[in-house]
Amino acid sequence: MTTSTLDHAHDDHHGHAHDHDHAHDMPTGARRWLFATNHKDIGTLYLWFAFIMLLSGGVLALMIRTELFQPGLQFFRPEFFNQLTTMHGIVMVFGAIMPAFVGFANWMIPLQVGASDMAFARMNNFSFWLLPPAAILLATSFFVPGGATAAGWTLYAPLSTQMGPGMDMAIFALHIMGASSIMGSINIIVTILNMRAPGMTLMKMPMFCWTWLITAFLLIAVMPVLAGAITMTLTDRHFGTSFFNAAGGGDPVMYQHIFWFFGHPEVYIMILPAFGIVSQIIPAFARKPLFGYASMVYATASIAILSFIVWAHHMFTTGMPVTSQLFFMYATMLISVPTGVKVFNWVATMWKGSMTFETPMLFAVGFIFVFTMGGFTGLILAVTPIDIQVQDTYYVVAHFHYVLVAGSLFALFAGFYYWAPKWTGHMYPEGRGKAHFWLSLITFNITFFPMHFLGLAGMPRRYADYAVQFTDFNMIVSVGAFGFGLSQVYFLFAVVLPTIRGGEKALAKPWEGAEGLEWTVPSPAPFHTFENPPLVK
Amino acid sequence: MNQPRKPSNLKLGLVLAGIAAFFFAAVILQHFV
Repeated sequence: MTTSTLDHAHDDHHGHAHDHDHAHDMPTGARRWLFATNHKDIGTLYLWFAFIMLLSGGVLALMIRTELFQPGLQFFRPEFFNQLTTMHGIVMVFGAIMPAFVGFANWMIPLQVGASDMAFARMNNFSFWLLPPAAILLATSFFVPGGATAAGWTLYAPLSTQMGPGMDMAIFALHIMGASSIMGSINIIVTILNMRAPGMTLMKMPMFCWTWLITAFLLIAVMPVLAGAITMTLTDRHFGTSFFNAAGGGDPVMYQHIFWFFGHPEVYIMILPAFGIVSQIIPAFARKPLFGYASMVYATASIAILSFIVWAHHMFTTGMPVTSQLFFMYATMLISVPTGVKVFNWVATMWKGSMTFETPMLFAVGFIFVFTMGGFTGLILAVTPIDIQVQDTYYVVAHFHYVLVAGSLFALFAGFYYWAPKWTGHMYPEGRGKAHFWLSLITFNITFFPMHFLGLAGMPRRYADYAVQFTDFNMIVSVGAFGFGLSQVYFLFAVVLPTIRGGEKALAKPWEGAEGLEWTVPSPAPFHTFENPPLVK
Repeated sequence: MNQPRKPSNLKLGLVLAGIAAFFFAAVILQHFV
């Protein structure tokens, strides 16, 4: 099952105490999932975990929108409201978006590079099974004295050095999820660099593998930085250090620098794999090769490198020399160049293509349209004087939801519709998929577009109450949010579950214009694939 | 199965883990210099 002699060597001294021999057969029941070492099973686990977290984070979001439907306090105490916004962010970023992309990576990277599995199959199991305990820590932190952490997903000091045990639970949860991410990234890099099929050179790799390779390097560089920051927060809280405590000679602004040195690359960690998925889908449904493949690779690498030198654009209002403001402003603007290359290439791929608009393509084109709007507001926010005006307003909330929901989440949906035939062996119901797309697109915009106006008018984020002049837009936003939430419930019950249970049989290559090794294996993909590596051209 | 694979998976994995450990140590230790 595993590919290297090294892993078989581990078998000898690592064998289970049971007399059950499942070495080369498909295990069944709970063991299949608990002891999973198969990349497809682990990918499935990741995807279900991420979806459950998406719905959980969605419930938190809807509680936020319930309170904000009207001005004044109707349902929740402000302290609890802050817990809701904080946990919504942490759950969505670390529990939903990141694990979902790792799920896609587990499923698709071995299939796309012609490897029989991930490089470290047992570590892969460990990476996944770290996540549920972290999720349980986060969920139960609502019930400890003082409740869950309410310092915002950024866990800024000094708030984070003052809160109750819910803060410690969030810190431990982030440590665990960070370790999981690092191990997952090591697995992905080693798989891509060492286990490609003969003839699969780096510059022949599908874009999804390229974007994940670069993302994995970003993760290895910055997840330890987050771990360091929250470790220092922990020692400040319990062991008498003063890293971020001004009274003890520390510096709370230093926390912000360290956090955003992680946080800005983290933004690209959540969007680069989305670029990869879209770069696979657009050529398939335009029936043309990707325009500018090499420039796509270089643009991805450029975005990754630039992401390390822009972090302080999140901190313009903390006070910094004007030269620093200028540097971070221009460096941030520079990122729009490689991003523009990507958007140009996607549009050029579609140019004069024989396009059809099945659901994956709808989500991919929707992604380009709405993500680009989020990118433009990002450019606006990069301008220091504008940022100083609108920082911590709903303009920022609108901006990053355009990037993270219409960007990352829509690309995840696109990828689901594109690869679900390969995963399940069934075609999804096309009409329902299209309904899911249009419902999501419309309700997404109802939810987040008015937030631009609210932010420009001065409504601050992270407050349970607001001035009465913001009421109308907030009501629209709340209605849109419930519509968006219900659209995802529709996705689960009308698309995902029926596709798993049955439906039209999928061909090995259900999409006429699709290219790549994953379409050379049957649908659903057998438990073991590419045990003998394929020869690529 | 048992196809010949580059035997350096473990080495590359350890190098990458080392990079991660370096960043973790650096971000804390820079406070002490």
